[in-house]
Amino acid sequence: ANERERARMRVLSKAFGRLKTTLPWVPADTKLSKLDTLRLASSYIAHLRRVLHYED
Amino acid sequence: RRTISRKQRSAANQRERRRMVSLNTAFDQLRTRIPTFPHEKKLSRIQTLKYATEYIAVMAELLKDHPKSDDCRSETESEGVSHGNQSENNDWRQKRN
Repeated sequence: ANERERARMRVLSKAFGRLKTTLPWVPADTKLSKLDTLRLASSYIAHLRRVLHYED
Repeated sequence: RRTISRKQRSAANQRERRRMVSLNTAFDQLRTRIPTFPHEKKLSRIQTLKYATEYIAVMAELLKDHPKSDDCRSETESEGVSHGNQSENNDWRQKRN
């Protein structure tokens, strides 16, 4: 049961890492906290939507 | 030291609860940025992360051909994300649904 939880956490951690790599201006070797990853991703998505929907 | 008082344990628990609240709030904020179908259940944390990653990748790809693209700045948006393009935005997920 502990091992399942640890495995689940590893999956979650990897997903955080992959999300981090989509963010611009964050060097690959920089560590980004989970909180910052989520916040930056929110900002970035909002930015991309603004830019892409500019001509709608 | 391994022996900590009840007070210290309680204070640590409180800090951890507050940390989780801020983390969950950030998850909720990210969820609002991801287009979903109207009556779908709230995305789980892992789904939120995976869909956010894919969504960003799709949009960044679109950005390359976009005539008015300007990828130099990223601002923090306070509120008010437009959800007017729900149906076309949801198409990006067809392959996984």
